[in-house]
Amino acid sequence: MLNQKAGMGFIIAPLVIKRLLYLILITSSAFIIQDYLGSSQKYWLVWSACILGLITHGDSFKRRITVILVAGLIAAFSAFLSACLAFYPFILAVFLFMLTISCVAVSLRYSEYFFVAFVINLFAIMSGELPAPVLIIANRFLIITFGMGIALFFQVLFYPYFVRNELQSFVVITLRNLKKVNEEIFSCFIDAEYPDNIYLYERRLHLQKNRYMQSIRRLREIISLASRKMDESESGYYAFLLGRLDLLYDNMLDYSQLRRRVTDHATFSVCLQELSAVSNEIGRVIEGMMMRVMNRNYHLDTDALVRHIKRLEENYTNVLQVAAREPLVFLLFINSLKCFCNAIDAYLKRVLPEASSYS
Amino acid sequence: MLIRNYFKSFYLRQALSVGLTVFVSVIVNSQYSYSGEYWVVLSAFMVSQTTRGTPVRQGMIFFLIMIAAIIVSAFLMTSVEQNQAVYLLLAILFVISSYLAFLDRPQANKTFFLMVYFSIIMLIATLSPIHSGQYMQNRVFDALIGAVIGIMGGMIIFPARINEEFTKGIIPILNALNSYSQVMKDSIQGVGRLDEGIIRKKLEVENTLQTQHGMYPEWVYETGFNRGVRAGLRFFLVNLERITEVLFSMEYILYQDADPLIFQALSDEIANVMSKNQELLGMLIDYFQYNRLTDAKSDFTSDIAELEKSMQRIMPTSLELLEISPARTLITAFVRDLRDLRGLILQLVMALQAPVQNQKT
Repeated sequence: MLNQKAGMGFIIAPLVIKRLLYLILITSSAFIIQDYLGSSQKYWLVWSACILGLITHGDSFKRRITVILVAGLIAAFSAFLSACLAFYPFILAVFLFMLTISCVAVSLRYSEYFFVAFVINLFAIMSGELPAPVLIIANRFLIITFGMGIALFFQVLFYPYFVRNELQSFVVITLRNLKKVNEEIFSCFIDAEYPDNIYLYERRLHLQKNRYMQSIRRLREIISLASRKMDESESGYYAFLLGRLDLLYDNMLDYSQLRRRVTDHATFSVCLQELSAVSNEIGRVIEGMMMRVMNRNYHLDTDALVRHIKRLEENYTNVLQVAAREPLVFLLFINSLKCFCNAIDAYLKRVLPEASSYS
Repeated sequence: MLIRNYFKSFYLRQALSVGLTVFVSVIVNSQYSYSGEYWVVLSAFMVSQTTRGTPVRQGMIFFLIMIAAIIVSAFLMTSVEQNQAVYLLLAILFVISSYLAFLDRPQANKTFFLMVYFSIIMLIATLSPIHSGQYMQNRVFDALIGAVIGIMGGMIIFPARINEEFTKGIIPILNALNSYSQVMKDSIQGVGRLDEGIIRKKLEVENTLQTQHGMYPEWVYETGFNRGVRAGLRFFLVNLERITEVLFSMEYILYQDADPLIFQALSDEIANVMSKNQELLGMLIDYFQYNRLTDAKSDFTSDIAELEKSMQRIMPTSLELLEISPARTLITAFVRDLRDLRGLILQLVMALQAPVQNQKT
């Protein structure tokens, strides 16, 4: 239930709604306008508006506009050039060869520009194989730039409050990824197939850790961008939040060591219920943090988590100390879970309602 | 020599490979295209946009999605009479796929990425001006020719050198882990406070682990990767990840309320163990960077035993006592992490093979 609420809350968050509206408007405008255009090249309007509209690189207004403008103009120009060479296949081949080398090298070296380089290459390739008289080609150039103009217009329209909306979104995304890291860690304890499929589980865990690290990296960038407009208390709150997220992640990696230390996986079968309960409760607590970030009035505490950890501890005292080959590793695990609980409590004490007042 | 060094660069090799593939496909398209459009070149170009691990498999996936888009587009054009209805369906598909990819930020799931790719090809296929005759079959044949050129190009023209690429991807991680471990050791030997340098080094480690921002050889994990080397390379990566986890865990423990006096009392032994760990990491770096297997000079077991004995001497580590003292449990956890770290690094070092020497006859 809480998972659905958190999910719905995320989907109707301002930035996500803005993105949906943006996509709908840019696509519908492109299709409607091209229907009224009398030109034989009108389909380029839809291609350029829709595809260039997917560019989201650049956090500042100036940077975003510059990237789309430069991408659009280079794409239009290279489409123009390759169409001019369309009647000379060998020269066209040489031109596309050089353009492709440049675009691929740029996209490999600077992966954030992959899509921009891809669009430029794509337009040049398509245009080169659609030969036409020079006037038609010039028309094609203008229509591509017109499509770029549509993308730019809607980017400008939807840009206000971008940093604020992105900030809230990325806190939620980072927490969501943190929750999934926890799920993958506990699946290594709970699933009986883990010892026979270690690589598969480690791969999934690696992918989820990677997604978490990307989201926290992006969150740091946005907080750094947003801090110029924040007052001291908000700045302090987000610095605290970043530190807390780092701590929670490292804490998870600490208790994830149990999967390596327990040599006989069957040991987990005696505490399966307790482990599942702890895993679900940690997930619920992180979802609660997401709800708080989305400014929902949601009461969040760690009482249930503490109870489940206590039950696990009782199981350790009564069963695992005898059943486990190395009970110490379970003690270290339980201690780590308690520290996780304390870290959440410290966060809850610090959460400020004015996180919503930033604009 | 300089030119040979340039050709060792993966970026240049890959760029040349895709460039030459596009060059060949343009020539072939001008002579043998069935549809008279760009599908040979487009297919060759798309199929070449693959990672190092499984270029053939990924190329086939891109090709099949392109075929699916062409067929669906043709079906749409023949069954829906009104252009506006076609535009509406295209717009809905495009918006939904882009929106789902956006929701899955920062790195969209492969499924969503392929959906966006499918919708872009649909836009291209449906709105393209040429729809005369048997255009669907012609486009499919052209796409097939392009896919063959693209896949053959990837296999023949500057193919990925798996071992070299893996080595290049591993070295930054090993160096980052070594620096991170060094800074942590310096911090422990200092006054027990965490140095800001640790945070910086940790960020470096995180960056090297991300494919988008480094050379991390994630392609080793891909389904269908070279069976001959798969097991060995995956074993290495999995253990390297575990080493990273243990180091992050150690840093986490340093942030907690462990007994500082006990930490200080053990700092020399801890530093000794960490130095030996760094020596082992140095061996790994030497092997991958300079292709030489350094002989181990130190004994790699007695220092751990010494640390554990010192810990027992200072604070008894019976389970009953640890249960009532979380601060001491943290120190036990830290020492355990150090032991685990030694075990993991030794596993990697033991797995190294002696470099093959070139023999002159």
